[in-house]
Amino acid sequence: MNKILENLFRKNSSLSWGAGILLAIVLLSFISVLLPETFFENDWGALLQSPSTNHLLGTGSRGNDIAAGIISGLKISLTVALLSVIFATLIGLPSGLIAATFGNKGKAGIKQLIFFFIFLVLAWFYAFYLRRFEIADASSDSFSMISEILFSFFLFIVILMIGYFFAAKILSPLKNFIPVQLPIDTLLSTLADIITSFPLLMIILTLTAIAKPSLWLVVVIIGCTTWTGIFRVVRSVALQTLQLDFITAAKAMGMKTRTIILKHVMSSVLPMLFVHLAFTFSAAIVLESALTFLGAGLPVGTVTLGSLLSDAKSNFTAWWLVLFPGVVLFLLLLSLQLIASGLQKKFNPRLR
Amino acid sequence: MRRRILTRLLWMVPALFVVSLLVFFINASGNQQGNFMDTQSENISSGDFSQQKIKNQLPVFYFSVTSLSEPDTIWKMNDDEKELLYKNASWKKFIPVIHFYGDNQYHRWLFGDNSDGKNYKGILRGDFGVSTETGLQVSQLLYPRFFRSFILVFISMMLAFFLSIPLSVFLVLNEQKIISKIIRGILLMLYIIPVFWLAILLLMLFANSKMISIFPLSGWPDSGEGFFSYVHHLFLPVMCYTLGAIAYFTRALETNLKEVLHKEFLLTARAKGFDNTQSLLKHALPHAIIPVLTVLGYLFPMAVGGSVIIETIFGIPGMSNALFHAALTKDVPVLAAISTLSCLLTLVGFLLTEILQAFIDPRLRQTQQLS
Repeated sequence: MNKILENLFRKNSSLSWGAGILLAIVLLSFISVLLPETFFENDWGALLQSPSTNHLLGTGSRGNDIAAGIISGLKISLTVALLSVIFATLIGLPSGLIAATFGNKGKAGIKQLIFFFIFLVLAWFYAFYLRRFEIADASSDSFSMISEILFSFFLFIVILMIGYFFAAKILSPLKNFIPVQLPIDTLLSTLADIITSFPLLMIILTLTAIAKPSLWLVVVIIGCTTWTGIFRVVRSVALQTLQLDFITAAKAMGMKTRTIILKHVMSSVLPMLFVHLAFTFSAAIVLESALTFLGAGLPVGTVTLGSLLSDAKSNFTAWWLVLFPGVVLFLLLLSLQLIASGLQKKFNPRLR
Repeated sequence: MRRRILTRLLWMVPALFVVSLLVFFINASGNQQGNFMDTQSENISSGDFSQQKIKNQLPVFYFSVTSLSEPDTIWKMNDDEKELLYKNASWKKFIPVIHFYGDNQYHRWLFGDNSDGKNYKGILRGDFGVSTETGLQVSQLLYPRFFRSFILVFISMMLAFFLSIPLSVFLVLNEQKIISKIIRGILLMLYIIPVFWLAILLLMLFANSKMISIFPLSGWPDSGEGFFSYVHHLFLPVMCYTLGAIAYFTRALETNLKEVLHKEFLLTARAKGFDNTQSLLKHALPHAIIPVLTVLGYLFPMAVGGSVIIETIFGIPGMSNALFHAALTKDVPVLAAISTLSCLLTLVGFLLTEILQAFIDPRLRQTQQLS
């Protein structure tokens, strides 16, 4: 482990700098455990005060301490970004691998497709429609809500699997098998293109206007809009790798497609994926703070870097309001950018 | 080429159908009672409006999947009644049933609605209904706003595009000099900086009575005022937009130029007696620009909803500002109109970039003719 780390950081100043700044910022967000609770309460006697010994970084328009706001805001920003990056990876990685392996050559019979759709509707009916009140009742407690939703997904997948086996084992021996080509790659790539060219904040604002603001909503929305970058990277790297000779050799040796993908293709996809995760992380942070800056997404009253800056929007003569949260946000994004470019240099020798 | 454009145009029909479904369901899931395009003022004027809403309620879509224990008018119930029905149901609830409806909210949204003296023509005929917040026709509300947003986006993108070309050429030609390293550092900072912080910083520096107060805080010049008023009002938002875009364009152009630099035709050009600058300008630049040009195709969708932050901070009464206020006040017709328009323009932008690229790059034209 030590050796890997040494190998990673040696002769790579941007990676070291980025990791250093990021570590400092993450530690800063954990300081809140040590601080007394009075530190985070509004001091109504000191509205819009410039930095002093009492309030190190000054106070906002509601008497909120800026230092406290930065610390608690960082925690929320980092949590949201981390969760949405995980969510985006869960969508982007499998879809990229599927698009690269199947291309436009995936085939299915018309009957099988019709059966699949029927089972899709059935799965939705039993897993989500019948259980909608159970899910709604559990929404007050986040843990039980997640477990209910996970159970619904489990049911959904089980019914789909039953449908799949039904179609594969019972229908496929029938003689008139009419194949349809499924342009999986084209469909997924076009979808990704459309989502990226679409103004992101517009989708997000429309969705937040409709749904109840919560942390999970922001996570899901950011995840659903940033998976496209991960999808593209995974798809292009996997396509490049699949054309190499050792993959042909592995195929000739009788390796299953699943093993080839998991063993050989993943090992070349992962480094570039890590590079891109850093970019996605910074994009998630920017989106989250832009949303809270506009006052949408998270519940009203949540203090984040974005909400601190939106306070600065109406009082921009107060320089400490503008400067401190912005600098912290900037440093966070800078560190992620440095980490990404450092990793890129490490994994992509062409750029050295 | 013509055939390709035609197929693209034909593909837009199913794409727009999917888009209309998405827009409808996202927006319709928000209002529990009342029909999709009904304005609040009408409901209030008709007396007991909660009762009126339920009586006029229509099914959402052409069909719905419910369970056998539920009646086919289930959409008229509220959530508590549905839950009661579900709790008391016997084994019948495990059997799925499909109901079909001819007259529904989606159908009326698309094709118009003349019931109860309403004169709504439907989005297929270009009528987006009446804004619930202001009571104005949505198209009337959005038309001048689109014009303003487009001016803002167009000026800043053109500025950024034509400034980034010499900048990137300069950076490539003087790669090792200190000044280009400084420029690169500044560009990296501009690339990272979030737009909203940059906007507030600009306001703090240039519209602050304690620092330098030369530009107005916000707003759009009145129609009677001259050119200088426009410059005065638009300087800060355009600068904010341009600085971010320059960093993006220069970065993309620089990497493209560096990739082209090692191609053989540049070696040929140099062998024929061009110097570094000439070969770069005449041979490398056209290659490097093509991928960046795709951005120009997205000018229209960007004008619709791409500048929410800048328009809200600088108080520009444009499309994005309308979107923001519609999202805050849940003004469904405006939200639906802007998202539909944005989708339509994104698809048109796709087509435009393809035509533009084929226009500039003859190779693309040829391969398409062969296939």
